[in-house]
Amino acid sequence: MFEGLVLFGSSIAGFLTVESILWALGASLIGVVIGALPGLTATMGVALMTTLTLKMPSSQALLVLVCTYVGAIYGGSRSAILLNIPGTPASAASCLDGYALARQGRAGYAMGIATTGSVMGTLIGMFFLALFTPLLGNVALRFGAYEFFWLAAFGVVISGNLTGDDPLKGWMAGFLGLFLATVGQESVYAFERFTFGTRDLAGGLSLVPALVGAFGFAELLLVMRERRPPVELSPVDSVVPKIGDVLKYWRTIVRSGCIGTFIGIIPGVGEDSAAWTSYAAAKRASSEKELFGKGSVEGLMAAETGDNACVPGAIIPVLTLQIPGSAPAAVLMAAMLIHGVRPGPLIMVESPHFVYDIIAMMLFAVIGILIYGLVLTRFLVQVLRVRYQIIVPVIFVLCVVGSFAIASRLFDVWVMLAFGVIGFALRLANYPMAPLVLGLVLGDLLEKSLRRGLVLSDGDVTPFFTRPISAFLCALIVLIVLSRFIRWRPHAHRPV
Amino acid sequence: MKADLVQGAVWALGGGIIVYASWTMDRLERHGAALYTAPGLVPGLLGLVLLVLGVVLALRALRTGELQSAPSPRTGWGNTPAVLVLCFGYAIGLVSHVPFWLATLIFVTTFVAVFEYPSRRRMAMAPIYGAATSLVVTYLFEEVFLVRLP
Repeated sequence: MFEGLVLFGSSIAGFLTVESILWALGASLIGVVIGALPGLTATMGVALMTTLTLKMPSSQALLVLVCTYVGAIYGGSRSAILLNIPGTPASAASCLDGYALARQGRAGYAMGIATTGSVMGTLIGMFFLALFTPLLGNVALRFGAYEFFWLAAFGVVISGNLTGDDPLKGWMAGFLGLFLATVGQESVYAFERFTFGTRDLAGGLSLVPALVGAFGFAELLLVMRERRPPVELSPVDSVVPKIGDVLKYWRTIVRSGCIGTFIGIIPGVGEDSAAWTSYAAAKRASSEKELFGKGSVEGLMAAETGDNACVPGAIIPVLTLQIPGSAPAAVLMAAMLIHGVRPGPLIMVESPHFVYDIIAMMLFAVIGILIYGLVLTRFLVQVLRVRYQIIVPVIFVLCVVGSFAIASRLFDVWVMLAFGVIGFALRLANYPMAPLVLGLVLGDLLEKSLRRGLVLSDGDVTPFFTRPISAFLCALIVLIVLSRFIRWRPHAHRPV
Repeated sequence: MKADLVQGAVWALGGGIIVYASWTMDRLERHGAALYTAPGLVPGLLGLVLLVLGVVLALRALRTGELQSAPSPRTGWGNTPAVLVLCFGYAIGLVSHVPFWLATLIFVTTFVAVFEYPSRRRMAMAPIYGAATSLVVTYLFEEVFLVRLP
């Protein structure tokens, strides 16, 4: 307990330099702006910033990425409240009551509530991050190849199940991601697979250009698909919420913070599910149910607390299991690997300070969003007026440069373009992107674990089903899949 | 839906091709590799899963009997062809063939001008956006982030 506090204190002290504070504030602002612009997501923001921070020292690069991540999830509430368009999918639940409040002439008040909820949510999530990471790290030490194989498979299945409208399409996207991760030399014999004689593919598909394409370029194509009418923003009143309003909903804040964090821990599910689940739980428990959807402060508070609490929650499995809890966390994990940080079960043994570094980074991000939420509201309102015809080419230039910057080769730019077109086509056909990303990230772990497990058991597959944790995870996957198949049956007999 | 039937068939076909390619992949037995360490094992299994899921998607579309094309909320190409031409033209045609700053200037200017048409006042601003983007991005990446530009 005290050791944790000491490590946390030393982590904060480590970032108390002018340079780090400026990077943190700058990155939080970039995150808020990206999050506020509808169509540009936190995943895209973190992926783009990963390419920008390649040459920075790892601690500062990760500080920038964490602040961008937190800022973007928070920033989505701006357009949700002012435009009734969620800036990121995580803010969709905030539209219901945020925009209703704005239409009542209380847009500033709604943004203040959203800021408070986001700050409280992140703080609760940080608390659980500090509490659970060592515990989960200890459990993860018992994991072997068999358990990691099922965990990777579970991540893809649960992500496909809970993101998007159709679990079947989610699973397909996830397994496509797993397959794409097998392209290039495999790890045992360095045998080239599906490279078609292309030397550039021998090393596999570079993760970051693929992510920049699937999230950056694909999102630009979606944004530009239709000309948007000029935005009509609601007038903004005072953005400072009353302390009494915040204290009145303390139960909602704590409940939503816990729900958001726990949903974050589930691999690949993400912030939007956290927001909706927190919102639904708040509505069930509320004495003002009739206000939900019509401008409920409690509803807005729940949604914003839930989605921001999910951010630290999604980082817990990244740090302990190397399994990301959400799509932006998957990109963050890729960035950690690029910067030589190896998260996983041994993190609390080898570098426990790193966990507290991440928590300290989040604290800086919280300070950033608090400042921007209270001070820069009118600037952010102006940002929403910037035309997409101007933003899109600039972001595409960053996509190109960022993809090239990873290894200074044009092939990565082509990878980005290819994934952009694939991602665009899949989205048009209602395939969610989060499972695809998770598949790409977890493909290596899944393959290595399966082959290592088979080598250890000399080709015997029974340990995959008989070891307690393996059996549990396997049963969970079967249950998830079966539950969805059973649901389809009545639908199948629906009259045409 | 009809679209799901077609997609299911495409996924099943893709999965089948992956399974075939994995099955016929060198198993490296001369290096002492067992079947369970063969390079094609994992992609083959994943291809099989994709094949099965594709068949399930197609069967579901058939069983629901909704083969008529349902209107999708996401129909039409809109600006997509023009955006694709401009972006591919920049990334493949311009970058690395002309200096980066010039490529970016041309791309951003053209992009803004095309999509601001027919507003002449906004189109006139396009070169300013192009020059500003080119200058700022080139400076930031080369001088601040120390990243090599294409």
